[in-house]
Parts: sequence; C-alpha cells; structure tokens
Amino acid sequence: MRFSSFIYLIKEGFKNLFVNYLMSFSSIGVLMACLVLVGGSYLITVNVNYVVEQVEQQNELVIFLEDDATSEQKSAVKTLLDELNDVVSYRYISPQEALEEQMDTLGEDVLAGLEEDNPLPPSFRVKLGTLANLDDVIYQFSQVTGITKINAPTAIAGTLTNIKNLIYIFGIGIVVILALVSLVIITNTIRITVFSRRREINIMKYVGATNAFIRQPFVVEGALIGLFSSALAYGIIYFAYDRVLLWMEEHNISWLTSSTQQVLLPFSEVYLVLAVTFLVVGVFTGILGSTFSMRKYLKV
Amino acid sequence: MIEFNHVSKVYSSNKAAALKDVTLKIEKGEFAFIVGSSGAGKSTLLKLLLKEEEPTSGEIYVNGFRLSKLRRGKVPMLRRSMGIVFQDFRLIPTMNVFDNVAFAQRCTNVSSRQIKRNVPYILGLVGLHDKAKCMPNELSGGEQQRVALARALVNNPSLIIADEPTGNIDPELSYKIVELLTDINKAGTTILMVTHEHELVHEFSNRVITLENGRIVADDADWSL
Repeated sequence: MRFSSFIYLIKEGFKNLFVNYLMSFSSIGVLMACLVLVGGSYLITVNVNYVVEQVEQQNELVIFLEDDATSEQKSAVKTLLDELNDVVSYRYISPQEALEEQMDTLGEDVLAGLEEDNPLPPSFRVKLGTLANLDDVIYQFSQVTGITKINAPTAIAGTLTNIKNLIYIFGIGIVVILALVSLVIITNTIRITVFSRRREINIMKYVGATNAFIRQPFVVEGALIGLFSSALAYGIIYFAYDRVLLWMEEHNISWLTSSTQQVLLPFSEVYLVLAVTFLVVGVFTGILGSTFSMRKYLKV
Repeated sequence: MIEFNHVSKVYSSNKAAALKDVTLKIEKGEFAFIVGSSGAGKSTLLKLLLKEEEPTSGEIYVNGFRLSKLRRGKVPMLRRSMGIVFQDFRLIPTMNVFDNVAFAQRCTNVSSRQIKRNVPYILGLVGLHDKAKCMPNELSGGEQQRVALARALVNNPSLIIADEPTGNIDPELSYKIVELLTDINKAGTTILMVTHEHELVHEFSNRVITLENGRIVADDADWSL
C-alpha cells in the first residue's frame, strides 16, 4: 500500500472516532472502568501481599546454641545462614547481650547477680524473606551440631502463606475476567459502528477496495478507543493511589505503620507494570475487536 | 471483452434457474443494451460479471479475467477494471461529491496530487464542476447519477456497467445520461447497460440483447435467434 493511502486511512479512523463521538465516548468510558478495576485489583493484590510479607518478616526465627558452643560450630551456622536464600538478615546475640536485653526489659535488680553465671545461651536471630519454606529451612539446621532449639513461627506461617496464595489466585482471576470483558466491549462497539456503516462498506467493495483497505480505519478506531481508555484509566489509578497513600499517612493506621516502614508500595514500584498492561490490553483488544467484528460485512 | 459460455445459474434457495445456458460475446468498444422484464435474469447477469455470485455451470471471461479461476483476493482488481453505475446511485452519504469520486482513486493507490488533478477533470466532463463540495443529499437525482458516473469513469476503465442507471431519473434527464454514455463509448469504452425502458432503447441504435426467463431470446448480433 502506498504511504499516502496509509496516512489517509489513519486520518479516516480518527475522523470516524470523532464523528460518532457519543458512541466513542460511551465505549471509552466503559472500557476505562474495566481497566480501572483491573488496575485496582492488581494494586490490591500486590499490596496485600506486601503487607503479609511485612508481617512474615517480623516473625523471627531464633536458633539457640549450646552454652559452650565452639567457634567452629558458630561459623558453621553462619555459613548456612549465608547460603540460604530465604534468609534476609541475621544477628548473633552473645549470652552477655542477651542478658543485657533481658535486664533492659525486666529491670536490673531482678536479674542481678547473674552476670558471672549467665544461664542464657548464645543465639542467632534470623529474619526470613518468606515463611513459605519454613519447614525446609528448619530442616537444614537439623544437620548442624551445637544447636539446641529453634523457635519458629510455624503456626502463623501456614496461615500467611495460604492468604498470599488465595489473594494471588483471586487477583489473577479478576484480571483475566476483566480482560475478556474489555475485549467483548470493544468488539461490540466496533460491530455497531461497522453495522451503521454497512452500506458504505458495501459500496467500497463494489468500487474495488480490498478488505485491508476497508478494515484499516475501523482498526485504527478500535486501537484509539483502547489507547484513550488506557490513558484515562492510568490517570485515575495514579491519582486515586496517591490519595490513598496520603490518607493512610494522615490517619496513621497504627497496626500497619508500627510493623511496616512504608504503608503501601510506592507508585514507582507498580507504574511500569500498570502502564504496559493497560497499553497492551487497550490497544490489542481494540485491534482484535475490530478485526472480528468486520468479518461478516466484508463478504461480498 | 465479455464472454459468457453456456452459463447457467440456479440459486440454491429457490431451485428455479435464474439463467439458462447463456452464451454471449461483447467485443471491445461496443455499446450493448440488455433488456427484459423483471425476473428475466438481468440482475443475475450483472452479479455474475462482478463475481458477486458464481455460475452453477459455464465459463465467464471479463476484461481478460477468467472468473472461475479468480481468487477471492483478486476480486477487487476485477472490479477496479470496470466502472459500475447503479440504479440507486450508491454514493457514500458522509462524503461530498469530490471525495466520493476521489474514493475510487484512493482505493487504487493513486497519489493525492494526481487525485487533485483527475477528479476536477472528470467532474467537468459530467458537468458538475461547481458542485464539488456538495453532499449527496443536496443534489437532485440526475446530479447524483452523474456523480456516480464520474466515479465510474475516474479510473479510466475499459468497461462500464450500468444497472438501470435511468431508473430514478425523469425522462429528459434519462436521455441525457444515455447520451453521455454514448460519448464515453465513442472515446473507446465498452458499455453494457441494463434497462427496462424500451422507449429509451429505441431512441439509440445500439445492440440490444433481450433476456426472458433466463434465456437470451433476441440479440442484434446473433441472427440465429
């Protein structure tokens, strides 16, 4: 196809979008709502997971060593801790430090006299990135000598992991359903447009226009609807998220803020995924929807 | 130019044959009328020429194309080689006169610059140069038909097919339209005009092919009938 014809057809697509502005307006509106829901559910999923992970990380694993554990044994534990992927950070607490901590909490007088005969063992306090593999992690240490006991939040681990999986599946489910709904909406919009111009399309076929030539302006129109919906949905999500973040900071949700450094994921973490997804879903469904809806009218 | 070789067409829905064993040959540069009452098969004949329908049997040759062997994707090429004028004009209602005629050129990838030259010239030929910016609904029937004719002409086709072009036009204008077609024919274009207006046919001394019940019952070029 000649370049000037290509440009002409793109211009026709733009023109048709604006000429049927009511139709375009309502389609963009509905599609935008769908995309906002998609974006919203994605953000909720991602943030709930984030909060759950924060809670997970607050729960420490404590590895107690024997009172007279050797430095080789301590190094062995350290080496293993360094190797394990799930370990985010760890701290060695000597018996002395442990006693000081307890004295801070309970008061010096209660524990006075124990400095010489410290009953507290050396320990490692370990923070894990996720509790999903807690049992495996504990098992790794069963081979290491010198360990007396491991305190692990096994009870809560199962619950938190289940919550995360559930949210994840739910989130994906919503995204898939809404993506399909978006496709159906765009297909129907273009179908209505094509139907209202079926006489024109018929004439074009008699004059000798190829299917590609006839189809192109409609495809452009569909893609534009997708594009505008994406941009608007993205804008709405951006402002809404901003507001939610501000509101949470102002109202100081205590149980969240005490346990997390930042309440929700900053927008910078999520904007790229959102932008690309919106663009792809919007434009792609626009093009696909147009192609499907034209089939019947191109058969002359 | 056009050749029908023992062509028959039966529509699957009603079993009756729309065309029965039609053999016809139209040479380059001819002007032929196709006449017949309603249901005689005139529209079917045209639909077969445009490859809108396919014959049940027989071969059709148009402009060097053998229609039975023509692939779907090549049908636009076939239609571009002919100019078609319909009874109901079939102008695109959302485009003005200029754009309607220009559209036929756009489909064939003609450059914008050439379109700006060709279209005014053709509009001048049919006498509508000053109505270039009008919309179809602002024109009279005769003017709309002339726009349709201009659109049929603009790609300089070797064949023009006119399907009852004077059907929606009053008599004096009808005569003018056929005169215009005659001028175009004199310049070398083959013309095939379907009509049921016998008075008009008698005013012009062109070849007349008569269809009845799907058969050719009279043909000026064939004295055997």
